[in-house]
Amino acid sequence: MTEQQITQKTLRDDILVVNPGTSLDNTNAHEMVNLISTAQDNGFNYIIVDMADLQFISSAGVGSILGTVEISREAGGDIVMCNASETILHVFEVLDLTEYLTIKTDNHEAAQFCGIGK
Amino acid sequence: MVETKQIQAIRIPDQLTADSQAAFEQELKSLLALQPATICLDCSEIEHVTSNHIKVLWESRAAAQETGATIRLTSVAVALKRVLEVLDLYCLFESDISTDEPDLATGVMPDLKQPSTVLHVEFEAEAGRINTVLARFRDFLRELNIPRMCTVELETIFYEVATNICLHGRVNKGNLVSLMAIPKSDRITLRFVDSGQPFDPTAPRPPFRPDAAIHNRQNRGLGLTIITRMANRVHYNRQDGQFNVLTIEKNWS
Repeated sequence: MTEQQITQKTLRDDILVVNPGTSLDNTNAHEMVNLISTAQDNGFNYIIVDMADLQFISSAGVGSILGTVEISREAGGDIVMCNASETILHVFEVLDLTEYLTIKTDNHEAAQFCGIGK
Repeated sequence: MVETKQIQAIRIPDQLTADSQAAFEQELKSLLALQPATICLDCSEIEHVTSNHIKVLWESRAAAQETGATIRLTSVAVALKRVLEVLDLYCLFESDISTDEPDLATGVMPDLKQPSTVLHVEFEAEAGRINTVLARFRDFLRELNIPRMCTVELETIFYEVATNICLHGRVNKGNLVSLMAIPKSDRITLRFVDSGQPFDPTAPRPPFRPDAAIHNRQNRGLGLTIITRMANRVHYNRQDGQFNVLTIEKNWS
């Protein structure tokens, strides 16, 4: 879990796709929070967190999503996770978060949730 | 990362012949020459306790005392514990939480024949060290060939405990954190020792509520919930008024 470079790309003017890389932990959770908060301030109501490369998530990583999701929801959007592996999902399951957070199977489902392709 | 200099481990053979006893004594002598703070005597192979075993334990303790080291018994089977208690010797040894007690629910004794390889790592209490140790811990778990999800949970437990110690433990600069991982046939015991501020992760606290956490934008304090939910048993004690000793047990069967 070396320091991770979080990448982002705009899917629509209100949808940002964020990829935290292979690890979301103490080394990059602050960066994740800053990135999401900045995006929310800039009108991205939907944040899609693409976890396709994610192999490890710590409590700090979960906290980076947990602490920001309500802001998106208050703005009429959400933070949508997708492509999470079984082991990543397990961490959310352990915390009983799967029914409270929006978790989609893949990018297509996540984009659909955000109103694309409906 | 400083590795296994403060604590050394040595296994006592079940069959103590003149040769194996001499080999044991030679190995012990070599370890004591390294001037460790603690020597762990792994008793996992002792199935039939003999007077030779007691003699070896006693002489090991005496030899350690001469160098200022402490003897700690690990993987103490019930039979050995009882013999030592009858002889009023058990209290003279430090002993890790016995993982060889019969299951109180079923009365079934665990498999004592499984060889245990102990991992012991010491590292400076700095966040930057955690990932290096985690990589080492991961390699160790891989060799145990345990279920993948259990490995993930153990890695997560390690990461959360180490993070708590390094970021919030107020350990003096330069002081070391000790991790000992002791696998058995169906479980592993992790033992963390640090010299930070007293902190009992098992102390009662409000239960984690996901809906409230989201509403309150909670981004911290999840680590303890993860640790306690992923572990099967968590035990804390403050040792000698200076060390936090956190023992975590995780089953994989």
